[in-house]
Amino acid sequence: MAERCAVIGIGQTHHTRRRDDVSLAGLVREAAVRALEDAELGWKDIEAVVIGTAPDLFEGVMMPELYLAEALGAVGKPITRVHTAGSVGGSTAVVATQLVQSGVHERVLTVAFEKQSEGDTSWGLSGGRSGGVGAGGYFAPHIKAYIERSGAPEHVGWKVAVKDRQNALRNPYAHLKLDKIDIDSVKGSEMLWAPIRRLESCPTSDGACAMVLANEAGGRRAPRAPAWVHGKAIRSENGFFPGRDPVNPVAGQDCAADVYRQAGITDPRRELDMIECYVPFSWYEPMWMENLGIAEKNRGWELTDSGATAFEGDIPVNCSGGVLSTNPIGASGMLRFAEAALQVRGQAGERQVDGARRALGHAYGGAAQYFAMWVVGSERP
Amino acid sequence: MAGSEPVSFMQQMVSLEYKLRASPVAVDFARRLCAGTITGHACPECGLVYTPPSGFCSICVVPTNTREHEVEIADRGTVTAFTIVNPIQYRGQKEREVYAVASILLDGASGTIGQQRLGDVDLDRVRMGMRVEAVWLPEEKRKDSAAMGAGLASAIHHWRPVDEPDTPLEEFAEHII
Repeated sequence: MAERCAVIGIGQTHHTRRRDDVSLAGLVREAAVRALEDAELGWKDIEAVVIGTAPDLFEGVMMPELYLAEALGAVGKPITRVHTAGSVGGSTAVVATQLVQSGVHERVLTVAFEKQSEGDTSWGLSGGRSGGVGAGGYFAPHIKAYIERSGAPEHVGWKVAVKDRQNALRNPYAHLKLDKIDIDSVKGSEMLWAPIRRLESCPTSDGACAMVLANEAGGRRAPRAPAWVHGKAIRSENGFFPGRDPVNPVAGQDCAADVYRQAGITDPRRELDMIECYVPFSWYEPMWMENLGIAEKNRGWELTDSGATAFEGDIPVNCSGGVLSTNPIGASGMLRFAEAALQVRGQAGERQVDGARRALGHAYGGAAQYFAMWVVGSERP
Repeated sequence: MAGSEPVSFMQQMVSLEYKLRASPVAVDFARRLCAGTITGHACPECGLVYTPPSGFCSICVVPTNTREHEVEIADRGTVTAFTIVNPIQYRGQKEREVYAVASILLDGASGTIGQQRLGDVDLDRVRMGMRVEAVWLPEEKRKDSAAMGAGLASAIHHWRPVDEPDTPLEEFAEHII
């Protein structure tokens, strides 16, 4: 690694069901302006832009990077678009980090977004005219297999659903604010794709997230404490082959092992102060805790059940409210990365974990086959 | 932003028509399927049996595209995972009733076929390990479209339970999806 990389500016929109007051360009610009303001930089200070979003059909704008270049101050500058399905917000941040670490650019703006209200994502995710069961229907059998295999009690999923929504109440940017949610309301909500209930599912949101990344000199000059990138990695695997375990994919294990190695982490449960993890359906919390090596195989649910992943627990997960509370798909991964960075910068407001020094941001996508992660820390590596 | 003009939106329906030239392997699979036989390809190196076949082993990265690799697969197997879908009525949704879809490990195959419709079954009785068999469409209704992405559903209407003991979980634990 030639250069160190620091997150010196973070911005996000107030996520919601519909943003009729802004266009797609207005939405991404709003997040980008906030990130620049946080870094106390102007458009001219940015050398390159890296953007990410989910499939173009979600908004009906093909190659949106061309249309959005002006709104993102990228005219005459390199602009790169990343696409790795739901994990894209994470991989976009990783690509931007590499542009800094490789020494190609000193300051890079990275932005991820989704304006789900402009397209027809339910239809798109459900296979369009050919029918299909959507993301919930696709992942439900994996969850069913996890529950069967681990013997986890069914209330574990309900607990995650309540915990993340309560966390969202501390996050002014979160979409869902379900202040009355409790175990009974989750358990009593409609079963959509057994064993997933409505309140165990993510919403559809409009929103964007942006970060300004800089090299070491930029990190040292930053007006506010930066988050330093201690490790970043992307892994993927074929979505379908005999013997593939989509409940605990090898690509996810390898990706985690790589970021831990880069960050010098040998005991992630103890050495990480918090995790922002891509949990679109409640059961993915215990499943990913196993995949990330935080819990032993088939025992991730005990972590949730004991309260260890709660805001006050010893390994808090999704203090922002997570994807269960806010899901502008393309931005969902970058929000995990950005929230992890906010925590180690001490900038997470009411959702701040006391003394957080090292945090993991995680995203997954496709048939649980694409993974992106980073470990960020308050100290320069 | 304050002071700026309101954003206006317009509705535009998008329709995408395309023609797919299916691979010879997919065409062959579709023809055999319409004739009532499910086929697969066995990898000459690792021995794994793929159905529907893609013409290569994605693990060993070797071709499996000649007749000698072809094997017949049973139209019966084990439900390895499933979900019961309560269809959300978004625009364009065709489903109205609650239904079950499953991953099925066919006898003789190494990997499951996903998103298979179950029928003739009490939804409360669907379980992992349950044995099922194909209910074929009448021959004249089978569409030669398996090669075009419609898969087994172009010839098989649904899968129904058969009166056989369940397969124990440990026998398919590594082939759930």
